[in-house]
Amino acid sequence: MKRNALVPLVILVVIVGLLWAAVHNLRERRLQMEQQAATHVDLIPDNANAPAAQGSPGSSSPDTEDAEPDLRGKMAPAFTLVSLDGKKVSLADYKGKAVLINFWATWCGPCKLEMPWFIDLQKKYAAQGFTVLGISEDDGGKDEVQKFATKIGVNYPILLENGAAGKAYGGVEYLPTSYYVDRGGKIVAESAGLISKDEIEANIQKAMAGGGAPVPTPVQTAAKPAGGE
Amino acid sequence: MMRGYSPKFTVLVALFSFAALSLRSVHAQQESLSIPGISSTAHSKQFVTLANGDAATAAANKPTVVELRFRVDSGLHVHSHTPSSEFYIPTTLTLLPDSGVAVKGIAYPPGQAYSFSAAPKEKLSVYTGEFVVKATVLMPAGSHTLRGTLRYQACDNGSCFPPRTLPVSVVVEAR
Repeated sequence: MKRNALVPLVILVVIVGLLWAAVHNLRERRLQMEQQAATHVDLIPDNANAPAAQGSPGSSSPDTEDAEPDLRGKMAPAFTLVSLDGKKVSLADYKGKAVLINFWATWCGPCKLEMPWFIDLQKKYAAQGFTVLGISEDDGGKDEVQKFATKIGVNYPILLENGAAGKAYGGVEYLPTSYYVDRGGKIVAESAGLISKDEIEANIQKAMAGGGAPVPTPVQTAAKPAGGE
Repeated sequence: MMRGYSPKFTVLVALFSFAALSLRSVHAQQESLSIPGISSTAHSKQFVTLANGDAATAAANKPTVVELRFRVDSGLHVHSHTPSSEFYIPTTLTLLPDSGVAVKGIAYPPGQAYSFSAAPKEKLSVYTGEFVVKATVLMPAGSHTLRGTLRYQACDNGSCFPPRTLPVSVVVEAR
């Protein structure tokens, strides 16, 4: 009798185990597919916009394994990050404006060279509905970034990477990397590695020209310090 | 003999086998999820290698200098141990404590002056090509393995890679 009672019990346990395994498998497979979709990137076949191709410094730049994905013509991936003054800042907050998204770090020499140019261009074009958003890839903490931004005199929002923003842009493998977003939210130009101030300005003008009519810009954008809006 | 296996027992064995296979499948998926993606694979790529990973010799029970020769990939530079800015990441060798081996000091070479073409006046202090870090160690006779890491941050003349940590391991024969 005992044996007769034990067998159905064991069968029940096994069936429950099977159901659990099936559900777990399904969940894991979905998660895996989502992760694969999130990390899917299209590499630029001819590395057309890489520093070497642009004839700019950085000609010995990263090989194709590290090539940044070509996002030109695509909608800029959304992100929400915390600025140096602790506020949440989203790309969506700048709807209707042209935006230069610049991935940088305090330890990156070429990034440091570009930043004074960004400061100048922020002053020049902010009133026309343009802003630079600097995304710091530092992992040493906010204080270091704040110290650097203050020393350079950054006049545009500096946001702190949370691991998701760079990933959304295909994984930022080297710095500086910049994306130029038009007023409609579309990426119209991108650069990996140091490029000249003239090239940056041309890309900004391209971003400001695309995506519809400019949206009136609050005056505070131009003079806003590194913390954000 | 076959009379001993009842239909219930056969069903039970089949169910157990199926359950085992299903659980194995779960385990296999968990392993595959831990495989690094494109981004993390690229991040693990090293731009500095240890050029003399072979065994070194040292005098037993006497402070001895062990030279660790590193090679920076062509076209790249890393900041020296004393970079030109507080924000740059210094190349730093860290040797882990090992039984019987005492690390008395680590000496780095001076950096070479380097400037980005866009800012010729700003001088960086960098290592390019090969550079030698000298570790002074004290160890008893026998074979010892010096283990540690080299932290560095590499750039070319227009872009920079995130900091890397290179595992270092050198066998030292003390006689």
